[in-house]
Amino acid sequence: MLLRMIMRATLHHRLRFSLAVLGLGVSVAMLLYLLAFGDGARNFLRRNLSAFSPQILILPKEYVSSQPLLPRGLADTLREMKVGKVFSILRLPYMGGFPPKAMGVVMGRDFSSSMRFITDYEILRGRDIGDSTRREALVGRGLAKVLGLKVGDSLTVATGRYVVVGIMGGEAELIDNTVIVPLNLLMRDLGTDRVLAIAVSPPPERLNEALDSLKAVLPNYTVQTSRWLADLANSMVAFGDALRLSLSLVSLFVSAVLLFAVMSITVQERRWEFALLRALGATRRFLLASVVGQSALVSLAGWLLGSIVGLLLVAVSDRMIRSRFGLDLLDVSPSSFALSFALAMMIGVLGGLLPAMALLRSNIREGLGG
Amino acid sequence: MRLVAENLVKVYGDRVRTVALNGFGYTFHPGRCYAVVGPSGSGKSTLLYLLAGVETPTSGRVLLGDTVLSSLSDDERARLRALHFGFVFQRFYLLPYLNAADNLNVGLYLKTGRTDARRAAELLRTLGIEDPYRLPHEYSGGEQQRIAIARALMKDPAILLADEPTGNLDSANSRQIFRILKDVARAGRTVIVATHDADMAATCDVILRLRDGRLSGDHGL
Repeated sequence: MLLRMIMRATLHHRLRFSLAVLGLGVSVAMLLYLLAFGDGARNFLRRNLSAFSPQILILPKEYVSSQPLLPRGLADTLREMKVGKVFSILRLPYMGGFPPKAMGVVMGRDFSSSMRFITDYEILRGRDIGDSTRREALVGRGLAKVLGLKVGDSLTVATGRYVVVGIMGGEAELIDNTVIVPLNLLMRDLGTDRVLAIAVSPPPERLNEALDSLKAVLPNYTVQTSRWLADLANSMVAFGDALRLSLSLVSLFVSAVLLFAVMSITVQERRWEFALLRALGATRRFLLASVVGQSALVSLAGWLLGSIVGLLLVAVSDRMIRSRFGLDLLDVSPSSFALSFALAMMIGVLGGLLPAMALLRSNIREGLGG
Repeated sequence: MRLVAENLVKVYGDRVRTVALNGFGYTFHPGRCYAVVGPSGSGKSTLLYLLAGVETPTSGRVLLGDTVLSSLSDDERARLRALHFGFVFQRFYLLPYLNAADNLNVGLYLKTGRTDARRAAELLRTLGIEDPYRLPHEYSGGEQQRIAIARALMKDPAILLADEPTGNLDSANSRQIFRILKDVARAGRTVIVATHDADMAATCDVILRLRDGRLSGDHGL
Protein backbone atom coordinates (compact mmCIF):
# COMPACT_ATOMS: atom_id res chain seq x y z
CA MET A 1 0.00 0.00 0.00
CA LEU A 2 2.84 2.37 0.89
CA LEU A 3 4.52 1.71 -2.43
CA ARG A 4 1.23 2.19 -4.29
CA MET A 5 0.68 5.50 -2.50
CA ILE A 6 4.21 6.63 -3.37
CA MET A 7 3.81 5.63 -7.03
CA ARG A 8 0.37 7.21 -7.43
CA ALA A 9 1.34 10.41 -5.59
CA THR A 10 4.39 10.72 -7.85
CA LEU A 11 2.38 10.13 -11.02
CA HIS A 12 -0.17 12.68 -9.77
CA HIS A 13 2.49 15.41 -10.29
CA ARG A 14 3.99 14.04 -13.49
CA LEU A 15 5.46 17.25 -14.89
CA ARG A 16 7.17 18.29 -11.68
CA PHE A 17 8.74 14.92 -11.02
CA SER A 18 9.62 14.39 -14.67
CA LEU A 19 11.70 17.56 -14.53
CA ALA A 20 13.43 16.34 -11.37
CA VAL A 21 14.08 12.95 -13.01
CA LEU A 22 15.42 14.72 -16.10
CA GLY A 23 17.74 16.95 -14.06
CA LEU A 24 19.13 14.02 -12.14
CA GLY A 25 19.34 11.93 -15.29
CA VAL A 26 21.45 14.57 -17.05
CA SER A 27 23.81 14.74 -14.05
CA VAL A 28 24.16 10.96 -13.82
CA ALA A 29 24.74 10.71 -17.59
CA MET A 30 27.38 13.41 -17.35
CA LEU A 31 29.05 11.66 -14.42
CA LEU A 32 29.17 8.31 -16.24
CA TYR A 33 30.35 9.91 -19.47
CA LEU A 34 33.17 11.87 -17.86
CA LEU A 35 34.25 8.96 -15.68
CA ALA A 36 34.28 6.75 -18.77
CA PHE A 37 37.11 8.92 -20.14
CA GLY A 38 39.10 8.40 -16.95
CA ASP A 39 38.49 4.65 -16.86
CA GLY A 40 39.23 4.46 -20.58
CA ALA A 41 42.48 6.40 -20.22
CA ARG A 42 43.61 4.21 -17.31
CA ASN A 43 42.83 1.02 -19.21
CA PHE A 44 44.48 2.45 -22.32
CA LEU A 45 47.68 3.11 -20.39
CA ARG A 46 47.60 -0.34 -18.77
CA ARG A 47 47.14 -2.06 -22.12
CA ASN A 48 49.70 0.03 -23.97
CA LEU A 49 52.51 0.44 -21.47
CA SER A 50 52.96 -3.31 -21.38
CA ALA A 51 53.93 -3.16 -25.05
CA PHE A 52 57.08 -1.18 -24.29
CA SER A 53 60.28 -2.73 -23.08
CA PRO A 54 61.26 -1.99 -19.45
CA GLN A 55 64.13 0.46 -19.38
CA ILE A 56 65.66 3.61 -18.03
CA LEU A 57 64.61 6.79 -19.78
CA ILE A 58 66.81 9.84 -20.12
CA LEU A 59 64.89 13.02 -20.74
CA PRO A 60 65.72 16.72 -20.70
CA LYS A 61 65.78 18.27 -17.22
CA GLU A 62 62.33 19.57 -16.12
CA TYR A 63 60.87 17.58 -18.98
CA VAL A 64 57.85 19.50 -20.28
CA SER A 65 58.50 19.69 -24.00
CA SER A 66 57.38 17.44 -26.82
CA GLN A 67 60.19 18.89 -28.93
CA PRO A 68 63.39 16.84 -29.51
CA LEU A 69 65.98 18.41 -27.19
CA LEU A 70 68.52 15.68 -26.49
CA PRO A 71 71.72 15.52 -28.61
CA ARG A 72 71.83 12.20 -30.35
CA GLY A 73 75.53 11.93 -29.60
CA LEU A 74 74.62 11.30 -25.99
CA ALA A 75 73.48 7.83 -27.01
CA ASP A 76 76.98 7.02 -28.29
CA THR A 77 78.49 8.25 -25.01
CA LEU A 78 76.15 6.00 -23.05
CA ARG A 79 76.99 3.01 -25.25
CA GLU A 80 80.63 3.52 -24.34
CA MET A 81 79.63 3.32 -20.64
CA LYS A 82 78.33 -0.21 -21.34
CA VAL A 83 75.40 0.14 -18.90
CA GLY A 84 73.10 -1.75 -21.24
CA LYS A 85 71.51 -1.56 -24.66
CA VAL A 86 70.97 2.04 -25.74
CA PHE A 87 68.66 3.47 -28.33
CA SER A 88 67.28 6.89 -29.20
CA ILE A 89 63.61 7.74 -29.24
CA LEU A 90 62.02 10.21 -31.57
CA ARG A 91 58.28 10.31 -31.65
CA LEU A 92 55.83 12.81 -33.05
CA PRO A 93 52.08 12.96 -33.55
CA TYR A 94 50.77 11.72 -36.85
CA MET A 95 47.38 12.96 -38.06
CA GLY A 96 47.49 11.65 -41.61
CA GLY A 97 47.53 15.11 -43.18
CA PHE A 98 45.40 18.22 -42.94
CA PRO A 99 42.62 18.29 -41.99
CA PRO A 100 43.45 15.51 -39.49
CA LYS A 101 42.24 12.10 -40.59
CA ALA A 102 43.68 10.01 -37.79
CA MET A 103 45.23 10.17 -34.34
CA GLY A 104 48.52 8.30 -34.27
CA VAL A 105 52.25 8.64 -33.73
CA VAL A 106 55.36 8.28 -35.85
CA MET A 107 58.27 6.48 -34.20
CA GLY A 108 61.83 6.56 -35.45
CA ARG A 109 63.49 3.17 -35.29
CA ASP A 110 67.08 3.30 -34.12
CA PHE A 111 68.95 0.76 -36.23
CA SER A 112 72.15 1.35 -34.28
CA SER A 113 70.65 -0.74 -31.47
CA SER A 114 69.49 -4.35 -31.51
CA MET A 115 66.68 -3.39 -29.15
CA ARG A 116 63.22 -2.20 -30.17
CA PHE A 117 61.22 0.35 -28.23
CA ILE A 118 57.99 -1.47 -29.04
CA THR A 119 58.43 -5.11 -28.19
CA ASP A 120 55.33 -7.00 -29.09
CA TYR A 121 54.28 -6.00 -32.58
CA GLU A 122 53.94 -8.58 -35.30
CA ILE A 123 53.96 -8.19 -39.06
CA LEU A 124 50.48 -8.92 -40.39
CA ARG A 125 51.16 -8.21 -44.06
CA GLY A 126 54.34 -7.44 -46.03
CA ARG A 127 57.61 -7.21 -44.09
CA ASP A 128 59.49 -5.14 -41.50
CA ILE A 129 61.49 -2.07 -42.52
CA GLY A 130 64.95 -3.13 -43.69
CA ASP A 131 67.62 -0.69 -42.58
CA SER A 132 68.33 2.96 -41.87
CA THR A 133 68.90 3.96 -45.46
CA ARG A 134 65.66 3.01 -47.18
CA ARG A 135 62.60 5.21 -47.05
CA GLU A 136 60.34 2.44 -45.82
CA ALA A 137 57.51 2.57 -43.31
CA LEU A 138 55.74 0.01 -41.18
CA VAL A 139 52.14 1.07 -40.52
CA GLY A 140 49.85 -0.07 -37.69
CA ARG A 141 46.67 -1.80 -38.85
CA GLY A 142 44.41 0.84 -37.26
CA LEU A 143 46.05 3.68 -39.13
CA ALA A 144 46.19 1.62 -42.31
CA LYS A 145 42.45 1.03 -42.05
CA VAL A 146 41.53 4.64 -41.29
CA LEU A 147 43.83 6.04 -43.99
CA GLY A 148 43.17 3.26 -46.49
CA LEU A 149 46.85 2.34 -46.72
CA LYS A 150 48.13 -0.98 -47.99
CA VAL A 151 51.55 -2.47 -48.74
CA GLY A 152 53.13 -0.62 -51.65
CA ASP A 153 51.32 2.69 -50.97
CA SER A 154 53.30 5.75 -50.00
CA LEU A 155 52.77 8.21 -47.15
CA THR A 156 54.28 11.53 -46.14
CA VAL A 157 55.84 12.02 -42.70
CA ALA A 158 57.08 15.51 -41.89
CA THR A 159 58.63 16.41 -45.27
CA GLY A 160 59.65 12.93 -46.38
CA ARG A 161 57.81 10.31 -48.39
CA TYR A 162 57.96 6.66 -47.40
CA VAL A 163 56.76 3.45 -48.99
CA VAL A 164 54.60 1.20 -46.85
CA VAL A 165 56.38 -2.17 -46.77
CA GLY A 166 54.37 -3.79 -44.00
CA ILE A 167 51.27 -3.63 -41.83
CA MET A 168 51.79 -4.42 -38.15
CA GLY A 169 49.52 -5.17 -35.21
CA GLY A 170 49.72 -5.96 -31.53
CA GLU A 171 47.79 -6.28 -28.28
CA ALA A 172 47.98 -2.52 -27.66
CA GLU A 173 46.01 -0.19 -29.90
CA LEU A 174 48.89 2.29 -29.70
CA ILE A 175 50.81 -0.09 -31.97
CA ASP A 176 47.83 -0.19 -34.30
CA ASN A 177 48.12 3.59 -34.58
CA THR A 178 51.86 3.88 -35.01
CA VAL A 179 54.02 4.42 -38.08
CA ILE A 180 57.62 3.23 -37.77
CA VAL A 181 60.26 4.73 -40.07
CA PRO A 182 64.07 4.77 -39.80
CA LEU A 183 65.22 7.21 -37.10
CA ASN A 184 68.01 8.72 -39.21
CA LEU A 185 65.65 9.59 -42.03
CA LEU A 186 63.01 10.95 -39.70
CA MET A 187 65.59 13.25 -38.09
CA ARG A 188 66.70 14.40 -41.53
CA ASP A 189 63.08 15.11 -42.54
CA LEU A 190 62.57 17.12 -39.37
CA GLY A 191 65.86 18.95 -39.86
CA THR A 192 67.09 18.09 -36.39
CA ASP A 193 70.06 16.33 -34.83
CA ARG A 194 68.26 15.89 -31.54
CA VAL A 195 65.98 13.23 -30.15
CA LEU A 196 63.12 13.19 -27.69
CA ALA A 197 64.57 10.70 -25.23
CA ILE A 198 67.20 8.04 -24.91
CA ALA A 199 66.34 4.63 -23.51
CA VAL A 200 68.84 2.38 -21.77
CA SER A 201 67.97 -1.22 -21.15
CA PRO A 202 70.32 -2.74 -18.59
CA PRO A 203 70.15 -6.38 -17.50
CA PRO A 204 67.13 -6.59 -15.12
CA GLU A 205 69.26 -7.48 -12.11
CA ARG A 206 71.41 -4.37 -12.65
CA LEU A 207 68.57 -1.90 -13.14
CA ASN A 208 69.04 0.02 -9.87
CA GLU A 209 72.79 0.06 -10.17
CA ALA A 210 72.58 1.39 -13.73
CA LEU A 211 70.00 3.98 -12.67
CA ASP A 212 72.29 5.29 -9.91
CA SER A 213 75.35 5.46 -12.12
CA LEU A 214 73.44 7.23 -14.93
CA LYS A 215 72.04 9.75 -12.47
CA ALA A 216 75.56 10.40 -11.25
CA VAL A 217 77.00 11.04 -14.69
CA LEU A 218 74.00 12.90 -16.13
CA PRO A 219 73.12 15.50 -13.48
CA ASN A 220 71.67 17.84 -16.10
CA TYR A 221 69.10 15.32 -17.32
CA THR A 222 66.07 13.56 -15.92
CA VAL A 223 67.00 9.92 -15.46
CA GLN A 224 64.09 7.68 -14.51
CA THR A 225 62.72 4.24 -15.10
CA SER A 226 59.89 3.73 -17.56
CA ARG A 227 57.83 2.71 -14.52
CA TRP A 228 58.20 6.29 -13.30
CA LEU A 229 56.81 7.52 -16.61
CA ALA A 230 53.87 5.15 -16.26
CA ASP A 231 53.23 6.41 -12.74
CA LEU A 232 53.41 9.98 -14.00
CA ALA A 233 50.87 9.18 -16.71
CA ASN A 234 48.61 7.48 -14.17
CA SER A 235 48.83 10.42 -11.81
CA MET A 236 47.85 12.73 -14.68
CA VAL A 237 44.85 10.51 -15.35
CA ALA A 238 43.99 10.61 -11.65
CA PHE A 239 44.20 14.41 -11.71
CA GLY A 240 41.89 14.39 -14.72
CA ASP A 241 39.56 12.07 -12.79
CA ALA A 242 39.44 14.54 -9.93
CA LEU A 243 38.60 17.38 -12.31
CA ARG A 244 35.92 15.39 -14.09
CA LEU A 245 34.47 14.17 -10.81
CA SER A 246 34.36 17.73 -9.44
CA LEU A 247 32.50 18.89 -12.53
CA SER A 248 30.06 16.01 -12.19
CA LEU A 249 29.57 16.69 -8.50
CA VAL A 250 28.67 20.31 -9.22
CA SER A 251 26.06 19.07 -11.68
CA LEU A 252 24.78 16.54 -9.15
CA PHE A 253 24.62 19.24 -6.49
CA VAL A 254 22.41 21.34 -8.76
CA SER A 255 20.17 18.29 -9.27
CA ALA A 256 20.07 17.74 -5.52
CA VAL A 257 18.94 21.33 -5.00
CA LEU A 258 16.29 20.85 -7.70
CA LEU A 259 15.04 17.66 -6.08
CA PHE A 260 15.05 19.28 -2.65
CA ALA A 261 13.00 22.19 -4.02
CA VAL A 262 10.54 19.83 -5.72
CA MET A 263 10.16 17.74 -2.58
CA SER A 264 9.76 20.81 -0.36
CA ILE A 265 7.01 22.19 -2.59
CA THR A 266 5.35 18.79 -2.78
CA VAL A 267 5.46 18.26 0.98
CA GLN A 268 4.09 21.76 1.54
CA GLU A 269 1.23 21.10 -0.90
CA ARG A 270 0.52 17.69 0.56
CA ARG A 271 0.67 18.89 4.15
CA TRP A 272 -3.02 18.15 4.64
CA GLU A 273 -2.51 14.63 3.31
CA PHE A 274 0.19 13.92 5.86
CA ALA A 275 -1.87 15.53 8.60
CA LEU A 276 -4.79 13.32 7.55
CA LEU A 277 -2.64 10.20 7.58
CA ARG A 278 -1.35 11.15 11.01
CA ALA A 279 -4.93 11.65 12.22
CA LEU A 280 -5.84 8.25 10.79
CA GLY A 281 -3.02 6.66 12.73
CA ALA A 282 0.11 6.82 10.60
CA THR A 283 3.34 6.76 12.59
CA ARG A 284 6.22 9.16 11.98
CA ARG A 285 8.13 6.33 10.38
CA PHE A 286 5.33 5.77 7.88
CA LEU A 287 5.29 9.45 6.89
CA LEU A 288 9.07 9.55 6.69
CA ALA A 289 9.04 6.44 4.50
CA SER A 290 6.40 7.89 2.19
CA VAL A 291 8.29 11.18 1.64
CA VAL A 292 11.79 9.69 1.44
CA GLY A 293 10.41 6.81 -0.63
CA GLN A 294 8.99 9.25 -3.16
CA SER A 295 12.25 11.15 -3.33
CA ALA A 296 14.24 7.92 -3.64
CA LEU A 297 11.88 6.73 -6.38
CA VAL A 298 12.53 9.92 -8.35
CA SER A 299 16.28 9.46 -7.83
CA LEU A 300 16.12 5.85 -8.93
CA ALA A 301 14.25 6.86 -12.09
CA GLY A 302 16.80 9.65 -12.66
CA TRP A 303 19.67 7.21 -12.19
CA LEU A 304 18.12 4.73 -14.62
CA LEU A 305 17.52 7.45 -17.21
CA GLY A 306 21.02 8.85 -16.68
CA SER A 307 22.59 5.40 -16.93
CA ILE A 308 20.84 4.67 -20.21
CA VAL A 309 21.68 8.09 -21.67
CA GLY A 310 25.24 7.91 -20.32
CA LEU A 311 25.80 4.45 -21.82
CA LEU A 312 24.36 5.59 -25.14
CA LEU A 313 26.64 8.64 -25.18
CA VAL A 314 29.66 6.49 -24.32
CA ALA A 315 28.72 3.94 -26.99
CA VAL A 316 28.25 6.61 -29.68
CA SER A 317 31.46 8.47 -28.74
CA ASP A 318 33.40 5.22 -28.50
CA ARG A 319 32.21 4.19 -31.94
CA MET A 320 33.17 7.56 -33.40
CA ILE A 321 36.65 7.56 -31.81
CA ARG A 322 37.28 3.95 -32.83
CA SER A 323 36.19 4.44 -36.41
CA ARG A 324 38.00 7.75 -36.75
CA PHE A 325 41.16 7.16 -34.74
CA GLY A 326 41.19 3.44 -33.99
CA LEU A 327 41.56 4.12 -30.27
CA ASP A 328 39.65 2.58 -27.39
CA LEU A 329 39.52 5.53 -25.01
CA LEU A 330 36.16 5.09 -23.25
CA ASP A 331 35.26 2.50 -20.66
CA VAL A 332 32.40 2.40 -18.16
CA SER A 333 33.54 0.44 -15.14
CA PRO A 334 31.25 -1.20 -12.55
CA SER A 335 32.72 1.16 -9.96
CA SER A 336 31.47 4.17 -11.96
CA PHE A 337 28.00 2.63 -11.97
CA ALA A 338 28.20 1.95 -8.27
CA LEU A 339 29.41 5.49 -7.57
CA SER A 340 26.66 7.09 -9.67
CA PHE A 341 24.03 4.88 -8.00
CA ALA A 342 25.30 5.68 -4.51
CA LEU A 343 25.38 9.42 -5.22
CA ALA A 344 21.91 9.40 -6.83
CA MET A 345 20.40 7.49 -3.91
CA MET A 346 22.14 9.72 -1.39
CA ILE A 347 20.62 12.73 -3.14
CA GLY A 348 17.26 10.96 -3.14
CA VAL A 349 17.33 10.18 0.56
CA LEU A 350 18.61 13.61 1.61
CA GLY A 351 16.27 15.40 -0.80
CA GLY A 352 13.31 13.72 0.91
CA LEU A 353 14.66 13.54 4.44
CA LEU A 354 15.03 17.26 5.05
CA PRO A 355 11.46 18.23 3.94
CA ALA A 356 10.14 15.17 5.81
CA MET A 357 11.83 16.29 9.04
CA ALA A 358 10.15 19.69 8.71
CA LEU A 359 6.86 17.93 8.03
CA LEU A 360 7.09 15.82 11.16
CA ARG A 361 7.47 18.94 13.27
CA SER A 362 4.25 20.45 11.87
CA ASN A 363 0.93 20.44 13.68
CA ILE A 364 -1.74 17.96 12.54
CA ARG A 365 -4.64 20.28 13.17
CA GLU A 366 -3.00 23.15 11.28
CA GLY A 367 -2.31 20.74 8.45
CA LEU A 368 -6.00 19.93 8.30
CA GLY A 369 -6.86 23.61 8.32
CA GLY A 370 -8.54 23.33 11.71
CA MET B 1 -14.98 0.85 24.75
CA ARG B 2 -15.67 3.76 27.08
CA LEU B 3 -14.22 7.16 26.27
CA VAL B 4 -13.93 9.57 29.19
CA ALA B 5 -13.04 13.26 29.13
CA GLU B 6 -12.00 14.54 32.57
CA ASN B 7 -11.98 18.27 33.17
CA LEU B 8 -10.37 19.05 29.81
CA VAL B 9 -8.73 22.44 29.41
CA LYS B 10 -7.07 23.49 26.17
CA VAL B 11 -5.35 26.84 25.86
CA TYR B 12 -3.69 28.00 22.61
CA GLY B 13 -0.96 30.62 22.33
CA ASP B 14 1.66 31.93 24.73
CA ARG B 15 1.31 35.70 24.62
CA VAL B 16 -2.29 35.90 23.48
CA ARG B 17 -3.98 33.02 25.23
CA THR B 18 -7.13 31.57 23.72
CA VAL B 19 -9.08 29.18 25.87
CA ALA B 20 -10.68 26.66 23.50
CA LEU B 21 -11.92 24.25 26.17
CA ASN B 22 -12.37 25.18 29.79
CA GLY B 23 -13.05 22.23 32.05
CA PHE B 24 -15.02 19.86 29.83
CA GLY B 25 -15.91 16.54 31.39
CA TYR B 26 -18.07 13.75 29.98
CA THR B 27 -18.25 9.98 29.55
CA PHE B 28 -19.09 8.61 26.09
CA HIS B 29 -20.62 5.15 25.88
CA PRO B 30 -20.62 2.67 23.02
CA GLY B 31 -23.74 2.31 20.89
CA ARG B 32 -24.73 5.97 21.04
CA CYS B 33 -24.56 8.89 18.70
CA TYR B 34 -23.48 12.16 20.34
CA ALA B 35 -23.94 15.52 18.67
CA VAL B 36 -21.65 18.28 19.91
CA VAL B 37 -23.23 21.63 19.08
CA GLY B 38 -22.33 25.21 19.74
CA PRO B 39 -21.36 28.44 18.00
CA SER B 40 -18.13 28.84 16.07
CA GLY B 41 -15.15 28.90 18.42
CA SER B 42 -17.00 27.12 21.19
CA GLY B 43 -14.43 24.29 21.15
CA LYS B 44 -16.27 21.55 19.20
CA SER B 45 -13.39 20.63 16.91
CA THR B 46 -10.84 21.02 19.72
CA LEU B 47 -12.86 18.52 21.76
CA LEU B 48 -12.78 15.96 18.93
CA TYR B 49 -9.02 16.39 18.42
CA LEU B 50 -8.40 15.99 22.16
CA LEU B 51 -10.64 12.91 22.38
CA ALA B 52 -8.68 11.28 19.53
CA GLY B 53 -5.30 12.22 20.96
CA VAL B 54 -4.45 14.35 17.92
CA GLU B 55 -3.81 17.13 20.42
CA THR B 56 -2.97 16.95 24.12
CA PRO B 57 -4.92 18.92 26.72
CA THR B 58 -3.33 21.77 28.66
CA SER B 59 -4.82 20.09 31.74
CA GLY B 60 -7.27 17.30 32.41
CA ARG B 61 -7.12 13.94 30.68
CA VAL B 62 -8.79 11.63 28.19
CA LEU B 63 -9.17 7.94 28.96
CA LEU B 64 -9.87 5.27 26.38
CA GLY B 65 -10.76 2.29 28.53
CA ASP B 66 -7.99 2.46 31.12
CA THR B 67 -5.44 4.19 28.91
CA VAL B 68 -4.67 7.83 29.56
CA LEU B 69 -4.01 9.29 26.12
CA SER B 70 -1.73 12.12 27.26
CA SER B 71 0.61 9.60 28.91
CA LEU B 72 1.41 8.11 25.50
CA SER B 73 4.01 9.25 22.98
CA ASP B 74 3.01 10.76 19.63
CA ASP B 75 3.46 7.47 17.82
CA GLU B 76 1.67 5.50 20.53
CA ARG B 77 -1.33 7.82 20.22
CA ALA B 78 -1.18 7.45 16.42
CA ARG B 79 -1.22 3.68 16.86
CA LEU B 80 -4.19 4.00 19.21
CA ARG B 81 -6.04 6.07 16.61
CA ALA B 82 -5.23 3.51 13.94
CA LEU B 83 -6.69 0.75 16.13
CA HIS B 84 -9.77 2.38 17.67
CA PHE B 85 -10.73 5.67 15.98
CA GLY B 86 -12.35 6.58 12.71
CA PHE B 87 -12.34 10.17 11.45
CA VAL B 88 -14.72 12.01 9.13
CA PHE B 89 -14.03 15.63 8.16
CA GLN B 90 -16.07 18.45 6.67
CA ARG B 91 -13.74 18.67 3.65
CA PHE B 92 -13.76 14.89 3.04
CA TYR B 93 -9.96 14.75 2.74
CA LEU B 94 -9.82 11.86 0.31
CA LEU B 95 -6.36 11.25 -1.13
CA PRO B 96 -6.76 12.63 -4.67
CA TYR B 97 -4.44 10.16 -6.41
CA LEU B 98 -6.06 7.00 -4.99
CA ASN B 99 -9.37 5.57 -6.17
CA ALA B 100 -12.24 5.20 -3.71
CA ALA B 101 -11.41 1.59 -2.82
CA ASP B 102 -7.75 2.43 -2.22
CA ASN B 103 -8.76 5.40 -0.06
CA LEU B 104 -10.70 2.95 2.12
CA ASN B 105 -7.74 0.63 2.32
CA VAL B 106 -5.44 3.36 3.65
CA GLY B 107 -7.22 3.25 7.00
CA LEU B 108 -7.22 -0.55 7.11
CA TYR B 109 -3.56 -0.66 6.14
CA LEU B 110 -2.59 1.73 8.94
CA LYS B 111 -4.41 -0.54 11.41
CA THR B 112 -3.48 -4.00 10.17
CA GLY B 113 -0.74 -3.61 7.58
CA ARG B 114 -3.04 -5.33 5.07
CA THR B 115 -5.55 -4.28 2.43
CA ASP B 116 -8.84 -5.85 1.37
CA ALA B 117 -10.09 -4.65 -2.03
CA ARG B 118 -13.22 -6.85 -1.99
CA ARG B 119 -14.36 -5.64 1.38
CA ALA B 120 -13.72 -2.04 0.36
CA ALA B 121 -15.90 -2.47 -2.73
CA GLU B 122 -18.65 -4.14 -0.66
CA LEU B 123 -18.61 -1.42 1.97
CA LEU B 124 -18.81 1.27 -0.70
CA ARG B 125 -21.76 -0.50 -2.34
CA THR B 126 -23.49 -0.67 1.04
CA LEU B 127 -23.19 3.12 1.21
CA GLY B 128 -24.50 3.54 -2.33
CA ILE B 129 -21.19 3.89 -4.23
CA GLU B 130 -21.51 1.46 -7.13
CA ASP B 131 -18.18 2.08 -8.89
CA PRO B 132 -15.37 1.94 -6.32
CA TYR B 133 -12.50 2.47 -8.75
CA ARG B 134 -12.90 6.09 -9.71
CA LEU B 135 -10.77 8.95 -8.39
CA PRO B 136 -12.35 11.16 -5.68
CA HIS B 137 -12.96 14.18 -7.94
CA GLU B 138 -15.14 12.01 -10.16
CA TYR B 139 -17.73 11.64 -7.38
CA SER B 140 -20.28 14.18 -6.13
CA GLY B 141 -19.83 15.88 -2.74
CA GLY B 142 -22.35 13.56 -1.05
CA GLU B 143 -20.65 10.52 -2.54
CA GLN B 144 -17.24 11.74 -1.42
CA GLN B 145 -18.45 12.13 2.14
CA ARG B 146 -19.93 8.62 2.06
CA ILE B 147 -16.55 7.37 0.84
CA ALA B 148 -14.91 9.20 3.74
CA ILE B 149 -17.31 7.52 6.16
CA ALA B 150 -16.61 4.18 4.52
CA ARG B 151 -12.90 4.82 4.98
CA ALA B 152 -13.48 5.37 8.68
CA LEU B 153 -15.64 2.24 8.94
CA MET B 154 -13.32 0.06 6.88
CA LYS B 155 -11.07 -0.59 9.85
CA ASP B 156 -14.04 -1.25 12.16
CA PRO B 157 -13.26 1.44 14.76
CA ALA B 158 -14.78 1.50 18.24
CA ILE B 159 -15.19 5.26 18.04
CA LEU B 160 -16.16 7.37 15.05
CA LEU B 161 -15.46 11.10 15.23
CA ALA B 162 -17.03 13.39 12.65
CA ASP B 163 -16.15 17.09 12.43
CA GLU B 164 -18.94 18.98 10.61
CA PRO B 165 -19.49 16.06 8.24
CA THR B 166 -22.41 17.76 6.50
CA GLY B 167 -20.90 21.25 6.33
CA ASN B 168 -20.36 21.01 2.57
CA LEU B 169 -23.51 19.07 1.69
CA ASP B 170 -27.11 19.90 0.77
CA SER B 171 -29.92 18.90 3.10
CA ALA B 172 -30.78 15.63 1.29
CA ASN B 173 -27.21 14.44 1.45
CA SER B 174 -26.90 15.69 5.05
CA ARG B 175 -29.90 13.60 6.10
CA GLN B 176 -28.42 10.56 4.40
CA ILE B 177 -25.07 11.05 6.16
CA PHE B 178 -26.71 11.36 9.57
CA ARG B 179 -28.80 8.27 8.87
CA ILE B 180 -25.58 6.39 8.18
CA LEU B 181 -23.93 7.73 11.33
CA LYS B 182 -26.94 6.64 13.40
CA ASP B 183 -26.71 3.16 11.88
CA VAL B 184 -23.02 3.07 12.77
CA ALA B 185 -23.88 3.89 16.39
CA ARG B 186 -26.61 1.26 16.44
CA ALA B 187 -24.00 -1.28 15.40
CA GLY B 188 -22.34 -0.72 18.82
CA ARG B 189 -19.85 2.04 18.09
CA THR B 190 -19.50 5.39 19.78
CA VAL B 191 -20.26 8.17 17.30
CA ILE B 192 -19.41 11.76 18.20
CA VAL B 193 -20.41 14.41 15.68
CA ALA B 194 -19.50 18.08 15.89
CA THR B 195 -22.13 20.02 13.93
CA HIS B 196 -23.74 23.40 13.40
CA ASP B 197 -26.84 21.82 12.02
CA ALA B 198 -29.45 21.75 14.81
CA ASP B 199 -31.89 19.63 12.78
CA MET B 200 -29.27 17.00 12.13
CA ALA B 201 -28.04 17.12 15.70
CA ALA B 202 -31.59 16.43 16.86
CA THR B 203 -31.46 13.02 15.18
CA CYS B 204 -28.59 11.94 17.51
CA ASP B 205 -29.16 10.17 20.84
CA VAL B 206 -27.43 12.87 22.92
CA ILE B 207 -26.82 16.55 22.22
CA LEU B 208 -23.92 18.19 24.05
CA ARG B 209 -24.01 21.97 24.00
CA LEU B 210 -20.71 23.80 24.24
CA ARG B 211 -20.41 27.46 25.12
CA ASP B 212 -17.06 29.16 25.76
CA GLY B 213 -15.33 25.85 26.04
CA ARG B 214 -17.68 24.48 28.66
CA LEU B 215 -20.51 21.98 28.54
CA SER B 216 -23.58 24.15 28.94
CA GLY B 217 -26.03 21.32 28.90
CA ASP B 218 -26.83 17.92 27.52
CA HIS B 219 -30.02 16.60 26.17
CA GLY B 220 -30.91 13.06 25.40
CA LEU B 221 -30.83 9.76 27.17
